[in-house]
Amino acid sequence: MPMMSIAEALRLAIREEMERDPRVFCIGEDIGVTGGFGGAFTVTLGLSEQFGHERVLDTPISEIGLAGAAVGAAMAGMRPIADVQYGDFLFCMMDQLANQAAKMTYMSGGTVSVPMVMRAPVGSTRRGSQHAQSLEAFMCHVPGLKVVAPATAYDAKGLLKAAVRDDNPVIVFEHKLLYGSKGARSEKGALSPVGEVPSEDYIVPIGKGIVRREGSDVTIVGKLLTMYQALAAAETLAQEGISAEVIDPRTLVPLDKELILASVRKTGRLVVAEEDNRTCGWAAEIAAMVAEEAFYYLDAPIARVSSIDTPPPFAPVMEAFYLPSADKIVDAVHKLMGKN
Amino acid sequence: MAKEVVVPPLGQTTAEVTLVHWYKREGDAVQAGEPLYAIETDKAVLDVEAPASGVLRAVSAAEGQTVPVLQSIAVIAAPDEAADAPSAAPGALSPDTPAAAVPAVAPRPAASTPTFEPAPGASVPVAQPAFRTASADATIRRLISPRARRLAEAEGLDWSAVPASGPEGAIIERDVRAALEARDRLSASASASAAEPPALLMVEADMTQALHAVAQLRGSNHPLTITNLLERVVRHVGADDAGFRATLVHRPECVATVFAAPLVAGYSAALGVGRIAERPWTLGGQIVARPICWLALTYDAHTLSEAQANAWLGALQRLIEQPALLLV
Repeated sequence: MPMMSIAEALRLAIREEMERDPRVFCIGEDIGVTGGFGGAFTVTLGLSEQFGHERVLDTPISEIGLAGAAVGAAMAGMRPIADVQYGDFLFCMMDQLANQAAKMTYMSGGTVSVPMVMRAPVGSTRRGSQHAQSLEAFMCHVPGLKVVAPATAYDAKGLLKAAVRDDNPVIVFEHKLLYGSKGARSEKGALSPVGEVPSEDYIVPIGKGIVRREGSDVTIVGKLLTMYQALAAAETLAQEGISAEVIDPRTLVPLDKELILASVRKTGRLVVAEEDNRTCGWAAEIAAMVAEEAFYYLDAPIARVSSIDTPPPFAPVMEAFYLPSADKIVDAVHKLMGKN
Repeated sequence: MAKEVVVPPLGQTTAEVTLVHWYKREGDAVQAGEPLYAIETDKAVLDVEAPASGVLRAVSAAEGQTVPVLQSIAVIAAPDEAADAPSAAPGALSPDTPAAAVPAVAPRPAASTPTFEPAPGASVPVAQPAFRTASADATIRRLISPRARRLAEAEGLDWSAVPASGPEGAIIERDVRAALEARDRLSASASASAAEPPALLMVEADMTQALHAVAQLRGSNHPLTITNLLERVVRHVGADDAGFRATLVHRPECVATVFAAPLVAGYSAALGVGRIAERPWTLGGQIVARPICWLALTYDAHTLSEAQANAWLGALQRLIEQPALLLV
């Protein structure tokens, strides 16, 4: 079975979907320029050579424009895969996403659907406040959007294909440190989660999470990069005799609640790790859901490991202070276990 | 806004006090913090300070009268304010309200229960904050996780005395499981000994030298805890007398100072050791404060004489009070 990085797995998914369905096309900034990078993180590299510039559309630097074109095309029967260079620019297109795409099916009484995909790289990678945010909570808050966050190459291909085939607008969050991009587009401190990616057509169903490591003392929920931090924390904790279960929700909306609840019922403790900042965040939502639905199974308060409530700092030392880490997850678990 | 003058709750056992003296009369001006009236409990006479500045009005308790704690006995009104009777003030406490049903005067930090114990006979000015943590509620508030509570209730276990090992002093699942195991062991041994409870002998031990030994060895290559020391003492007595085969249950975090351990089938005795607490102790005719703990020896009265158990308890006490003897 071929081994691939997440960037390669996403590219393969787009290629297969474009070959399978002529309605599928890519739209974004600098995604198909001849001699370019293939988008900000190489995902669309080579696709314009195969499918032509009519199906790999480069737009002006106008996020509201490209999002509007994608929403309109989807309403008219196409299946666009749009690309925002940095997730931070989702703010520029919020009207198109939150007011138009997300509501259209509801407002039309179900007669109009918006089968579009918006891919958005997130994560803080020493690029300062406007190229570093994690906007998962913002998007999860909009009724009508589905939100996925693949953290492995296998899931990247399977979830992107599921997103393309879904009749609702789907936001695909990708972490900059997980692309495994090579050369000029590689980010400092990147992991290279290269994994097996089947050549055949498969999807990872939207709405299904996965247990990445089994354990009995504490449940750690992490997505994207924090899932890897949770795994590293679980390894450290195992050496102390603490058995941590790590859950990767993979899809944020609709959430695989039952997977998380079943784990918390087993372990009695929950830590939620996120790169989003803390207040009104994604981890807060998971914590509230568990408090509502599994309260009587909790043996300790729920802990959040989040970024702090400031813009992502540019200085590397301050960025490390701001971000979650495996050590911070270990500390949170210690606190829940009554160890200091 | 008139401020009520409420008789403060004094520890957990005092339900009512005698109003000995009013330092101010109705209509007098009072300053917050100055002695307003004196009360007598079964332990002491105390001055209580005025909770606010203003004019004393609506005095409803006379000198010599017995009043329940937490009862409102007057108000301090602004000079130009009409004084309502205390029972008509918003949130006022009806004299009929039993003290135990009345919520604490002020919110208190969870699980913190400092006590206020004046020296006998002393007249002590009582500042308001001293009462913040005391409560009319006679039970000490204990924290328990929802998971632990659910388990305890499903098993019909009264968790109020279960020793806690969780964060913030909370009882967690493992504590309830330990208590359930102890309960099961007790019921097993009870049925084994023809439903007759085991006999119990208790003695206090002065822990000064034991704590000194622990402090001395802290940070050394052979650190020692009180539990380790107790284990060694039990082994030592067992080595001297093969008939002494005892389990040890050490509960340093237990609320109770006496902890009687259940007798386990197959053992002749069980040594229960509770919390070490500073207590008055006589030494050479003087009363001094010493760290004291109770040793409770549970034994099977069917097979052992009281004299035998008494000898064991004496040996245990001697070694715990003088741990250097372990080296002899």
